[in-house]
Amino acid sequence: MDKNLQNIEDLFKKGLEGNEETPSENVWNNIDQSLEKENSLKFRKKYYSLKTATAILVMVVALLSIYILRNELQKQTEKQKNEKLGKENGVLKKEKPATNNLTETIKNHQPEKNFSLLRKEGKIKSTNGDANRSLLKRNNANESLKSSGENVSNEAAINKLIISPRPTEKKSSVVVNNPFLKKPQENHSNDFNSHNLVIQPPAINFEFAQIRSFNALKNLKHTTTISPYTMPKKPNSNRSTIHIPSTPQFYADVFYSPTIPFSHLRDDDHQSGNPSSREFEKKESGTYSYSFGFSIGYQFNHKCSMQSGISFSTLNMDHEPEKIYAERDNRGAVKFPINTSSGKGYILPSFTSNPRIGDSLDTKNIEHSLVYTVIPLAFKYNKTFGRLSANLLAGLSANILIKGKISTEVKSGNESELERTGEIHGLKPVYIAALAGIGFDYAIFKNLSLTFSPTINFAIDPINKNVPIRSYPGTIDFHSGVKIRF
Amino acid sequence: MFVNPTEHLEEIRQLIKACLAEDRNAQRNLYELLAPQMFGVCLRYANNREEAEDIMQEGFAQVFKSLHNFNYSGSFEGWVRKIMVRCAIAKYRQKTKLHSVLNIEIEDIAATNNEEILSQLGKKELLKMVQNLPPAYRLVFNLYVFEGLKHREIAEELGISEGTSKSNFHDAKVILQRVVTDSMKIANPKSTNG
Repeated sequence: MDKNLQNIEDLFKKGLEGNEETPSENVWNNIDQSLEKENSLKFRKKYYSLKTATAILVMVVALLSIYILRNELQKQTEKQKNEKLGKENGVLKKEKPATNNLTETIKNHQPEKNFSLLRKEGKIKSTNGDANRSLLKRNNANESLKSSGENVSNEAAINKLIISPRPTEKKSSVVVNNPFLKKPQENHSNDFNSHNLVIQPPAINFEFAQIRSFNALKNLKHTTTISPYTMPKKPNSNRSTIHIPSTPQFYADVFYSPTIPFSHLRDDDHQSGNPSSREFEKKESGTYSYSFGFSIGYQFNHKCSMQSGISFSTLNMDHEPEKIYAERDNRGAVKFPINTSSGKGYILPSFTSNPRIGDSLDTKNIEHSLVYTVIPLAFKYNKTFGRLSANLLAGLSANILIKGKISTEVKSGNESELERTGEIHGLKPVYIAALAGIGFDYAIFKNLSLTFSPTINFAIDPINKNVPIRSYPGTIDFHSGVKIRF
Repeated sequence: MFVNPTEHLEEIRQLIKACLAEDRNAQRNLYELLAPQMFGVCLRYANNREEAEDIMQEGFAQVFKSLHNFNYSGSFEGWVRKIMVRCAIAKYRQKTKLHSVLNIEIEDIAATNNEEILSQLGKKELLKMVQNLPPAYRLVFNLYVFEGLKHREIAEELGISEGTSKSNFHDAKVILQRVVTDSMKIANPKSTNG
């Protein structure tokens, strides 16, 4: 063999070093397009972060709004009640002459007539008619004497009509249904201690019945809700006193959660010809995912609880566009493989139904999504601050694969087609994940709470097997829901 | 048009700065400045022009993506060229490796020197010879001859053994010797027969 041909590499080096050729215009056009895609992808990623931040903000604002609105409504109701009360008291004061008229009328009125009227209208049930009658006589006489002075008040005038003994006196069995009449004035009840008098309907009706009988007191009709004891006790005046029982009990929680997926990849059997995990990490990014479901829990005491449940979780990832080359699949058919961090899927577009090994296609963004049923088991440590309780959560979950899907648009020349495959090679049917998080419960009622719980889930074993790249996905969840205690 | 990028360092600096600001015109100018040289590199690693264009396209996309990593310590042209070579390697990795079964018989040819051969064979013919090598041989040959890598480095880069690299390089040379000999016979039948 010729000596020069022994150094054939020099021949080629001299011949081809510095060789220049102009590529076709298509090259720049394609670069231009890929740069455009890159920009839109960057924008999408930024927009995705913005959307996530907005969602969190909206949730926080919504919870705060509910809290503030509820406070305001309660304040307003109280204010309205007080205003009404003040107004009506004002009306009574203004109508003092009328009440004096009432006093006068009462003074002149026959006690028997009063009593018979009451009995006729079913306002008084008496077991001792004579005693009651005499009692009324005496009472009326006493009150008439008191009310004859100039300083007689509305209250005193009305008290004359309201039979309201001291409820603490055992000898008296008077039952007054009106809650406003639970504070009797001591001056008026001494005479009734030894009598069995039952007033079943609210005493206020009795008052109204009496007033109706006097034409001069028409203006007082609207005062039927007023009593001498119109300082109603504010129900639940202390708002932070909703008592969440610390005794063992069950609870259920229904939730929805937007999630941010991420993935940690490891090379399992990195050989020449296989893309590395780094390449995938660069090319893949999580897109909007979600989970929803319910959990049931058992609270051992006011601090510790254990919970489980079931939820459905989606895990969506985006893979950058790439060129794919036909190869033989597991069954020996020549198809186009799509490699993702989850596993490999094969597609066969209709426009290249009979490809040869090595034929190529361009793809647009590749989306792969996995749906899992999640069964968690977690321990919670709770700390209660009035209506609000905070908790720390840690546990494990079994994630059972329901379905996996890879989809992309492929193109070759002028042809393009949307391709989808539900067969992802290498996915395991179950993987185990760890979970940890913090949570907040806000008690609206004794048994009902709003819950918000940011939680991180991360796979502790890979979701795939017998593949070059092992994938350990994870999610950051923002559980929002409603909890009911039983 | 030949533009030596080293002579236009300041121009390149300005272009890089503009490219980092995602100025599309600057990106195009930078591409046009380097495209002929880089396409020459890509052609050697590819099987044909289309494949070279694919490598070039992916290479430049990568250049623009990682432009912020260029630290101006070395030649920009060299940095871009390395990216092109890496893209060519990635392309090779993506493809199913086809191991050619070769039956190489070397015929003796008359004494000729490289200058003579070069005068008789054009650059295009030489390029075609390289392109027609099996992918693994072509890659090893290019990395050894044009990038100046040692067999150990090639082995690390491609994830093969050093022995495989040497063997591939030897086989590549044998194939090239044969095709050059054949071409010379056609170009100069008298000298080869005589």
